[in-house]
Formats: sequence, structure tokens, C-alpha cells
Amino acid sequence: MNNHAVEVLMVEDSEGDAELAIRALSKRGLANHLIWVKDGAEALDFLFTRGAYAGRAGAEAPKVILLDLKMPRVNGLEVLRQIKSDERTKGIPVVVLTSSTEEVDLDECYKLGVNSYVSKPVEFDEFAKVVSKLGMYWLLINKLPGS
Amino acid sequence: MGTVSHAHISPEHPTEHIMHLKTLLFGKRNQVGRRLVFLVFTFSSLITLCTSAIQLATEYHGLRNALNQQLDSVRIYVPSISSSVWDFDELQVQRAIDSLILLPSVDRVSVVTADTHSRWDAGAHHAPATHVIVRSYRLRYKVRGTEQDIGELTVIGSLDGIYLQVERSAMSIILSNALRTFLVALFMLYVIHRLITLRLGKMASKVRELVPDILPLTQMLETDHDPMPETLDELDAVDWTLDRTAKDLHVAVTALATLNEKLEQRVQERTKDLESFSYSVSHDLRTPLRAIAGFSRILDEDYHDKLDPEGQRLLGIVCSNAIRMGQLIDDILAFSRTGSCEMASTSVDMERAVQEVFQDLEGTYVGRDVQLKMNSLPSARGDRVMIRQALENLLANAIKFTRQQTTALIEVSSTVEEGECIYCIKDNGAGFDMQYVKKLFNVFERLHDNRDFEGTGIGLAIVKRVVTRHGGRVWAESQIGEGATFRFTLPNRNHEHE
Repeated sequence: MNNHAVEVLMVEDSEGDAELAIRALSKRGLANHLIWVKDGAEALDFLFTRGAYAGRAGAEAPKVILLDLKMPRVNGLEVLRQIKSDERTKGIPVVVLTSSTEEVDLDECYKLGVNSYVSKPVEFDEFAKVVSKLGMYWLLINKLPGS
Repeated sequence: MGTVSHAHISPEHPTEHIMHLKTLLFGKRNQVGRRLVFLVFTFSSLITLCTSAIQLATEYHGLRNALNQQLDSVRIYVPSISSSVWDFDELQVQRAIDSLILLPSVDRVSVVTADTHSRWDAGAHHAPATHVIVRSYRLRYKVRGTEQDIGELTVIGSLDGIYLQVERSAMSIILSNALRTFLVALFMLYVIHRLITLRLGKMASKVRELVPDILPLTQMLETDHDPMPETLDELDAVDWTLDRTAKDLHVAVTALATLNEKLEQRVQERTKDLESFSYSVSHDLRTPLRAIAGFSRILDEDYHDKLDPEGQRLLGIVCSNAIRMGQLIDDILAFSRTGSCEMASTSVDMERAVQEVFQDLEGTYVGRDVQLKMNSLPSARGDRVMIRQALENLLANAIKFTRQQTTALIEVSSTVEEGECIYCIKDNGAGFDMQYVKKLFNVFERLHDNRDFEGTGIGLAIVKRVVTRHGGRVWAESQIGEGATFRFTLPNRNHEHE
């Protein structure tokens, strides 16, 4: 994986969900520059080029971060809070992609400045559709500064 | 508790009351009655005494006047006695005074000549009266034109008879009045006992019953229970009991408030637990489920050709069950939310709600002829989201169970009965057996085979919960093959003023 060209950072602890999402994105050819990390701590390490990613060449931000909420160690809300409170990362679009449909989570995420909140459909067809729509939108349609 | 608790004697048996006359008069019971009777008795006696005194004084005066008049009438005998004395007709004088002595109340009569040498007496031989009236008449005789004093007639009237008579009247007045007052007092005692003190006792014990008999409460109250003082009468007892009860109630109310607060806190904690539980359910159960469904689908997509028909069938079963389980989780969560969510009360346009829900369900009846017939529906008061949820379940059922009809007809109407608005959703679908109507609204109860009509058995439980939480009722009637009719009530906007 070429770190220079990371377009999608997927933060997802469930291997199944991650694989299904990657499969859905790759069907549209959107998974070529995707990196998948399994928890919040790893996601922060990647974004702030520390820990295992200390040597990451360059520090270009991904075009979108797909963030799960319920994860071991550092949960999604904490990751979101840190991303949105750091000058270097606050401009990166963050899409929360979660199984939670709880109002509390929704409120909290928007307070922290989430760019989009999408709940994972239970059905695989729906799930695949939603993920590929997200990929299309954030990678192809959405414009970011400097691109 | 002394006098108060004795008040259970049945007033229905008069003999019992007579038997209890002694206790009524001297016992501890009926203290108020006795006190009252004593006061009335004393007062009545005083009045009797005064009136009797006046009565006796009048009687005494009358009798005394009569005596005076009688003694005055002796005057007419004076001339004849005077002449007898002048004549010195001793026999005549003695006869005159002997006849005078026969007059009633005349005790003694005596005649003394002026020179005091001669004296005639009558009635002097018996014991002299203690109280007397003395009348003296000068005996004069005209001798050659001049009146000469020849002696004196003395008549002594006895007052003893009058005194005796007055005494007797006094006795009889006092005795009769005393007896009358006593009898009246006795009657009053009984009446007061019957009408007031018995009830006071009952009142006191009823007041005691006001304090709820809850164990932690009684324990709290028992600590400072000093017994009621024995000296209190019935009214004081009621007063004392009221005071005690007021104190106890204060303690009880405070305790209840504290308990309530604790309970509220506990409920909030539990609700939080429940919320985090349903969160876990929604998140943790869905993830593996999606994997099952997703990877079965991938298996089907990528390895379809490598599976034989049986393998494909089995894979199909896995897929459909994964979908069903997802539906179950969604429904359980929805059901649990309808029980615990906060309700916002607004006016809900029921016609619009039905239209919108019916449109939202469009995807479930694509390619079918489903007709919705709706009469005018009054708006309801309640939580918009919850009411829509109930409507969605009812309409979805109507759509689902009319699947086998060429033309599905769903009629939504309303009637007002006894100020209550009844909404009605009627379909011409499969219906159900009324034998199981009681099970209809229970969670996970299904009256149809899953092969004919899929479902989780939660929809109607949600409907019932929504309606019940709004203070309404829901019921249904049907016949197999004849369609089903669901009716529910919701508080009408006219009945609530906010």
C-alpha cells in the first residue's frame, strides 16, 4: 500500500464488515488506495504519523475517513474528537459508519463536527449499496481544498 | 390505647347497653358524656333551687297573709269580750276565748284585765309554738260616755304550721326536680354515648388507620410511640390521635418521598442499563449477522457454480434466516424503545399519518392491487412518531394478510362512542381465529404459519404498547378468511387542554 496515495482510511474493528465494505468499494474500483486499521489507537497513530506509522512518508491526509464508533481501546467518538480538535486533521471529512442507530451517538457525533453519519444496514445488499454510494460521493463527487 | 379502642361495642343490642349502664356511669368509657351530664345536672339543680326558692317564698307569704287576715278577723269578737269582761262574766269570757282557740293556726288566747288581777287563758296547756305572731287588742268599755280601758285580749298565732307546709313543699319540689333531672341526665348520658362518644372512638381508630401499614414505615413510626395518657376523655383522645396521626403521616410522607426519590433514581439507573443493553444488542448482534448474510451472499455470487442445487438451497436458507434475524433484532429494539422512550404530546393529523404511512409501505405491495379507503379521521393527541409506528404496523399487517386477495381493500374509518374516538382499520385478508384473540397482542405470538405470512410476532405488541402508553385501548375481531378489523382509541384533542 502506497501511503502517499491513501484516499480512504477505514477504521473498523469488525473484519467481516471491513471485508464486505472493501469488497463493495472495490467493485466500483474505489478500494485501490484504501488503508484499513482495526481500532481507534491505530487510526490516530496513522493520522498523526506516530507509533507503527512514525515512519510514514509524507503526511497527506486521506480524502475521507470511514469511522466505526464501537471499537476496542480508543472508540470512534474519541478518534473523532481528536481529529476535529487538531489543526492538521480537522479538515479531513469524517464519515461515521456504524451499527448504532442511537440518538445519543448521532447528537454527540454532530457536536464533535462529523461530516456525515451513516448507519450500517443489516442486509448485505443494502450495506454494499450504502458503502459504494459513500465511496462514490466522497472520492469522486466531493471537492476538497487543494485538489 | 385506652378509651378509644373500646368503642367496638355494637350499638345494635339495647340489652347490652343496659348491662353497660354501670360502666356508662362509672366506667372509663363515656367520659365526655359524664362530664356533660354532670354540668347539666349542676346547672339544672341551680335553676331548680332558684325557682323553688321563689316559689316557696311566695307560698310562705301567701300563708302568712292568710294567717294575718285570720288574726285580724278576731277584732269582731273584741266588743262582746269587752262587755263580758266589764260584766265580769268569767264563764262568758272563757267560752269566748275557747271558741277563738278553735280558729285554725291560733295557738293561744289570753285576756288580762287592766288591773292585771284577773286573767283567762286558752290553749296554754300545750307546748308553746316556736314561731308566733302576737296580736293584742285593747278591751274598752263605754261608761257614761267615756271609754275606759278595761283589759287586753292577746291572740298568738302559730307559724309552725306554715313552716311545716313550706318545708313539705320544698321537699317535694326538690325531690321531684332531682328525680326528673337525674332521669333526664341518664337519658342524655345514654344518647350522648350512643350518638357521640361511640362515634368519637370509631373516629379515633379510623384516624389511626390513615397511616398506611407499610412495614418499613411502621418500623420508623414505632420508635417514638408513647401510649395515650389514660386521663384523656373521648374528645381529647380524638385530638391526641389526630395529632399523633398528623405527625406519623408527616413522617410517612417524608419517608415515601425519600423512597420515591430512591426509586426514581433506581429506575433511571435501570433505564440506563437497559439503554446500554439495547445499544449492545443493536450493535453487537448486527455485526456478526451482517457477516453471515454478507459472506453467504459472496459465497453465492463467487461460488454459485461450484455448489450443487442442494448446496444452493441450504445457502438460501442461511441467507433468508439471517435476514429474518435482522428483522427480529430491529423489531425487538423498536418494541423496547416504545416502552421506554419519552413521549412528546402534539396534535397528530391522523388522515395525513395514514396516507404517509401507506405511501411509505409502497415497497411492500409493488405489483399488487391494494386499495386504501379512508373516511374522515379526527386528529389525535399524542406522540407523532409512536402513533405513526402503530399505524405502520397495523397497515403493514393489513397489506401482508391481504396478499392472497386479487384486490386488497383496506378501510380506515372512525366512530365516536361516549366521547371516545375509535379508529378502525379493516381489511379483507386472511383473518384469524377468534379463539386466539387473547394471544394476538402478545410479543412473539403468531397466529399464522411463517411460510404463509412471514413476521416476527412483535408488530401488534408494539401497537398495543403505543396505544396503552397513550391511555387508549386496542382490540380486534375477525373470522378466518373474512378479513380482520382492528380498533383502537387515542385521547381526542377535545379531551385534553394543554
